[in-house]
Amino acid sequence: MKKWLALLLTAVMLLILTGCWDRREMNTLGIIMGLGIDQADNGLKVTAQVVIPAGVSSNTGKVIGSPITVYSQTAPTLFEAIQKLTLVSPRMMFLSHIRVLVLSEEFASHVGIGDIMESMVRDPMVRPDYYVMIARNTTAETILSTLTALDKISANKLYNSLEQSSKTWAPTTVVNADRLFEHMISSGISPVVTGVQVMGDPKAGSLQRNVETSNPGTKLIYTGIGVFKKDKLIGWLNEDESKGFNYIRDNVRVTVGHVNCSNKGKIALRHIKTSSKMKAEIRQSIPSINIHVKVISTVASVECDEQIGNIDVINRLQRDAESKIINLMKKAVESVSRKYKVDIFGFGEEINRTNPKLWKQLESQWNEKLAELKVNYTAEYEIKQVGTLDDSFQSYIKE
Amino acid sequence: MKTNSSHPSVTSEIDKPIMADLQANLQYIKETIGNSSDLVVKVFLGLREWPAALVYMAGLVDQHILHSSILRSLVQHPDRDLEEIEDNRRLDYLMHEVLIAADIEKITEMTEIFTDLMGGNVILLLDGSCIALRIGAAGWEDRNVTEPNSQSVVRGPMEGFNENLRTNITLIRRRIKDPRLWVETREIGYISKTTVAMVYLNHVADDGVVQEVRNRLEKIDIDAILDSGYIEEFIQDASKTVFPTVYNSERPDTVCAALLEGRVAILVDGTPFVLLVPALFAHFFQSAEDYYQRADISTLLRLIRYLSFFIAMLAPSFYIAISTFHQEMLPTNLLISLAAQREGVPFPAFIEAMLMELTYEILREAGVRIPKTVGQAVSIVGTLVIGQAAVDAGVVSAAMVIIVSITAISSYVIPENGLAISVRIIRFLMMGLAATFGFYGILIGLIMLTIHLTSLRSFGVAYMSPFGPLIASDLKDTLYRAPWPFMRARPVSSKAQNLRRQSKKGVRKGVEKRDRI
Repeated sequence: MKKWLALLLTAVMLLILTGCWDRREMNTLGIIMGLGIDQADNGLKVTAQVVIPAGVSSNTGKVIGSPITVYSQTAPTLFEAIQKLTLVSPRMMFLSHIRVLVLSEEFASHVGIGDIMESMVRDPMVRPDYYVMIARNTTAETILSTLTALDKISANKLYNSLEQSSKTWAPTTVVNADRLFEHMISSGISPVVTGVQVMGDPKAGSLQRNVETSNPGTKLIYTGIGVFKKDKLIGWLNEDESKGFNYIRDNVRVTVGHVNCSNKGKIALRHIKTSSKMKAEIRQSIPSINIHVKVISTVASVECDEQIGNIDVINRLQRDAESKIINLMKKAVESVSRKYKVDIFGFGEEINRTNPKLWKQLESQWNEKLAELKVNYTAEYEIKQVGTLDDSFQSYIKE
Repeated sequence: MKTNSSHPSVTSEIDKPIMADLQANLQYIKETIGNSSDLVVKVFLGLREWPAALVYMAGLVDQHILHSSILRSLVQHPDRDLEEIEDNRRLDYLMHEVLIAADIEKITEMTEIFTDLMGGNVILLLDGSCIALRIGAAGWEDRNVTEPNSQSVVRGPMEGFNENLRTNITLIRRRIKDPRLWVETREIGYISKTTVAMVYLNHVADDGVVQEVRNRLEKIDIDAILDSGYIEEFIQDASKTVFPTVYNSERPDTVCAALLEGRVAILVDGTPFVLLVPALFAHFFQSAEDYYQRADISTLLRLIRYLSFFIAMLAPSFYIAISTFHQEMLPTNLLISLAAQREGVPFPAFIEAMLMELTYEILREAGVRIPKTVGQAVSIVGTLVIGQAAVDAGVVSAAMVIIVSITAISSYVIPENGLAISVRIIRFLMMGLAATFGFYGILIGLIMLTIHLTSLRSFGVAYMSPFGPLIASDLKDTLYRAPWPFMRARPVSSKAQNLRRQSKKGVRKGVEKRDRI
């Protein structure tokens, strides 16, 4: 009996001895939703968007004040700066739920994002599912300080809005930390990062007044895709190039495009399903790439007197759409390889997959050889539905 | 039949033969029983020169039997010349020719007189005779056979056991009309002399288990047995466990089903709760209704019960672990919502949970003990302390109220109260582990629990069977409930001798043909 008692006591003491060293109550955490990195004189300036739970939750009644607060500190390394945030914040900084990582354009093009990504991925507490974006023509601090309507936490707004638009609008693309890191270390593909901009007066954006109007003066908007060489930002894709890029990378799911009618007007086509396949072909150790895009779509609107009830018209529309997509892709590839000399499309990766030995030889001078790479584009556009109307409304409207 | 154990301290004084002198006998009986007012002694001179006396305990004998079978036959006995009968045949004459009661026996010892008096018999003492007559006339007020309070069902028999052993055995016999249903009775408790009956289906129940039950009952040495709970603690395999290894039920249909599976029932006089052994972990998740409802619904309900078992055991500890150690596991929006609720709550989640769980346990206990007339007050106060008022007061968070509520409700889904109680004990241990180690602690707790559970036995059967050791054929009535036509064999885990329940075809041919018409 004594032996048992001693054993029991020992067990209980063991429990107490370790204590609760990593215990932290939820109301002692400053939940960081968005992290911003700007360049500073002595290292980097870290901005954390911390959520004020009482300001967000709807069940606590009337919400007063801002739902978020923003803290900034400057330090030589990322985590020093994050720890230093407690100088101003009453709560311990909690990184696990970070939704977006915003890097300023200046920082990304001069310092490079490599070290930041390294520290973020190394930390086991951080889930690598947050989106990375570049603050274009502004600082990360400004982006994170801007209040947004509908989604009260602007980091959440950035996250959701990017996710939605990447699903429904061809020119945007989502880059989460995991993928970015993977593309940074892979030799056959260069990383890209979405750009985000402040529209309107950046100072007014941090005021509560900004979200109290139906049309806020200051908004956050996604623009373009940033092209990286190694870990430095070297340029931007415009909207058409972004579209072409997304078609090639098979990022497009649903989007809306248009083709011109034979006379005046446009016909809008909504994609129901889009997929693309990239295949490398190697002939006498010369690689070439075949890209095939397949689209199933429906007619969204006919803004001319085109007789879409006629199969020939549909066939012509399909051919037009095909050539349009091919053109988009072609332009994107040409301008990227000419201007930036980087392979953001993953051609190298595809060659590596097909013939690893050949890739070993090509790898070192790939960026230079990119301009010589032959890329074949094919598209298969299918209009499966025409909506609830047959011929255009216009042809029935009485004069 | 009777216990042969003797307890000198109590019985030696009355351990003597009946004397020939009636007055001396009566005097002795009165003195021994302390002149208790419910002892009725009727001295009787109706039998000519034979003074006689009827002795019985008021309230324990059926007045109807007493009047019509005993008193009337003694007074209106056939007018024969009693003088003709020899003195030593008087008793036989009374026994065989005068009294018309069915259950008459001769007794010679004083001990027997007292035992029989308390058992509701009428004792006829005759002057000049060292032998007394015991006339069975037991009959007292009983609770009616009513719907059982615990283990109630929506569909199925509504009868429950009552406090009378005879009635209870009858309730079982009415359901199993077979000579193989054997009843063994014994008296346990040297003061209470409680009748305890062991009921089993011969050739179905395992002989080893039956013998083991017999041996364990034999070993019980206590002054009184007031409920089957006493027996349960004496005969259970392991005492250092929070889990029940003996099943109890108030329902005759449940007991019969167990008997048919080859288990042994122990009925105790004076309580409606019948014990069933061996009892396995899985048995505590079976409700009588499972077998009366459609199999698919029963299976779903059974899975819900297993789920509820885990919720009742782990919900607060999960909440503690997540909210104090693993915030990164929560969806972001949920975390913000929970964090908002915790704003301004003064205690750590563990203290908060402890506070609420203790409050609930207190409320529960109060609800059981409180007189029905003031019961309303408890529910009103209860909703205040575990509810919105507590949240508004800033003492606890709203999420914790939900956790405590779901925990409380889940523990009532387990059909048998014994297991529900053990879950409550484990819950507090788990909360402590969660508060110190988070999920790691919960996992350690669960591993220890599994080891403990698999080490338990109930009358030689592994407690966790058919899960560990796995007996695949028994899963048909544990993890899920197979439709009756597929339950062709009795469970192996209850050690039944004869496993066949249905003929190989499942449905007899004749029945099939008739059904087609």
